[in-house]
Amino acid sequence: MQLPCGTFSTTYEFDKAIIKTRAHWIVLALAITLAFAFPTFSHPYLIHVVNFVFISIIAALGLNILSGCAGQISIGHSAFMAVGGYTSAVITYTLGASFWLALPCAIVAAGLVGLIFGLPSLRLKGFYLLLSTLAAQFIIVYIVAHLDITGGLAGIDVPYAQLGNIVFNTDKSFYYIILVVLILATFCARNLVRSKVGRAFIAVRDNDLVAEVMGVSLFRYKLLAFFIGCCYAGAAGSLWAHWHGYVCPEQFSLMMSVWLLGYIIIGGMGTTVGPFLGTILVLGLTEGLSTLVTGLGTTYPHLLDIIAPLKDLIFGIMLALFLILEPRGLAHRWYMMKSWYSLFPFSY
Amino acid sequence: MMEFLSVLIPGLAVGAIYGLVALGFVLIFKCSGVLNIAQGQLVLVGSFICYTLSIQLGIPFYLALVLTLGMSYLFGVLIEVVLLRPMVGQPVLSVVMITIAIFFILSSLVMIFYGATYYNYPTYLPTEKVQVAGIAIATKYLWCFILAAVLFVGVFLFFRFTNQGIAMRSIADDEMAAESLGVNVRRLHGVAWGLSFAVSAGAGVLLGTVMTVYYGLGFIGLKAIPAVIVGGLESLGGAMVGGLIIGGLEAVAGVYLAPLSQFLGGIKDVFPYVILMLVLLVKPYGLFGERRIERI
Repeated sequence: MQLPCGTFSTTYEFDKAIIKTRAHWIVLALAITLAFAFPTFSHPYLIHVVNFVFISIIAALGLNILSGCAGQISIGHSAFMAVGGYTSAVITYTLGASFWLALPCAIVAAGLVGLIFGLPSLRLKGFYLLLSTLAAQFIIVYIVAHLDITGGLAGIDVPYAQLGNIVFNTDKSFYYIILVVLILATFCARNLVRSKVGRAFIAVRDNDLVAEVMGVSLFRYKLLAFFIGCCYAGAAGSLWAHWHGYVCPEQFSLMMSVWLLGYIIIGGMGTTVGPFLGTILVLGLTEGLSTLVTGLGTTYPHLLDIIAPLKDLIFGIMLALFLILEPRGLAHRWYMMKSWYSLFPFSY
Repeated sequence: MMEFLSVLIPGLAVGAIYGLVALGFVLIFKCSGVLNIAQGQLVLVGSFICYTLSIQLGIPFYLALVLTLGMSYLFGVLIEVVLLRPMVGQPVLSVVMITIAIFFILSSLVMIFYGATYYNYPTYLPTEKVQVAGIAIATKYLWCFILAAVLFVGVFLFFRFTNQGIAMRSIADDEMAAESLGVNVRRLHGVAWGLSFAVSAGAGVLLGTVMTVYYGLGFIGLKAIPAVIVGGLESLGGAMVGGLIIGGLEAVAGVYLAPLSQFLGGIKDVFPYVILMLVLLVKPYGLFGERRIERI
């Protein structure tokens, strides 16, 4: 951890603090204020995109804890989002409860389903674990697509969240809910990785046999990683459902799981800042591109047909380039930039 | 019984194609230890290359087939050199993700150039049915078996008797020891990718003539994954057996399980993954796979 020149950890509390200097506090306060003020001055479509980006970041943070910190690769993360989304939808639509009850229920439900599909991780690793989560993806989405209570392939309508008289039925109003959840999620993720649990996760990732020999209970920590990672997915799924106002099985595809993996790889695995950077870069580029192509579409209509594959192409190329040229992701660049900046202008 | 067989045999024919794709997986995995998620995309690209050559450019079909196999081989080598070679020694996730990147690049390129339309080969295979033990079997299914068997035997003989095949097996066994004995590991990785690509392209052309050529063909690669796991990741024979098992069970489940209740309506599509999950839980190394013991 790089600290500005002349800043030393003289007390234990100071050493433990995440945010150490006054400048940090000011920047953080400014950033949060800016984030809350953002919808008042921005274009409606931009708010829509930012909502999508934020929900993706929440899911990616969970995947980052599971795959980046604990090393349990999952290619079925969007299925756990589906669990969260559908739990939330069934609780609000069928049982008539409020969103504020449904959100925690969705989080816990996704976590529990994650525990079930995390069980193979005790015996499997690497490719084999990846394939078992691939199976989880197809099985979970099949189940929600064929149960009566989840409305089958057509999906179900989800009532919008409500607080007193305020109905969160627009991009702009729902933005605030997403933002609050995102801030909480980031806070938890940031603290988790530097706690005992986080260190145990990293030990399991680096070599699980060694970790077990040194007293880290694999059973406990692998399952805990699945639980926590899937809780994040559940939160993201629940927000997704209430943001769109409906859920259907097609929203939670294998491709989405792969994109989530892509975000954390491009951003940098095992770092909390990684999912942010990766998601913002990838979605910023692809959404920007699709806006551009839609603009050109008025003069060249055939371009409109290739927007979706074009996004996939960009994603694939970015993924390949990052894996080959910068396997540590954007987060590594970010840390390099920070250490350069903290010594600026005398970096020698 | 008759009805059961008439369900099973088309299923096994599809299973033979899964087996071929699985063969491609095993070729790469055996030699370089990479699980190639993009295998289905290789099938897709192969069938489209052959379609373009034979229909759009008017080259005779069998010449086009040979050209397709050759081009696929070169393409496979190219992909290995450009994308996979820098990934040697990287963690499992990075290697899998680079194959997923290949998946995205190839499938989106096919989508951009060909769209989501269905394309039909003219019928090269005879369409009449033959009677085997009183059951009418469409000849195209027989052709699937025969071609799959020919390709399988070809690959098997390659590994058993040629210098390159034996060298590849030595790499699979112990890469460092093989290299110190003068085996050119880098070149053989390229050869493995090229061969795998060519086998997959062959499977693609076969699929194209049996069914139609369209964008969704690539997802057959994901169906072949259960087949590989059932058979064991290192075993060529296991890939074929696994393919037949998955194809047969899938067809049987589709006909006999699906009518039981509404919930099981689409069980055919997800049944291979249920099997995959069960196999991973009970016997993760598959029927014929090698059990690796890990040392710290």
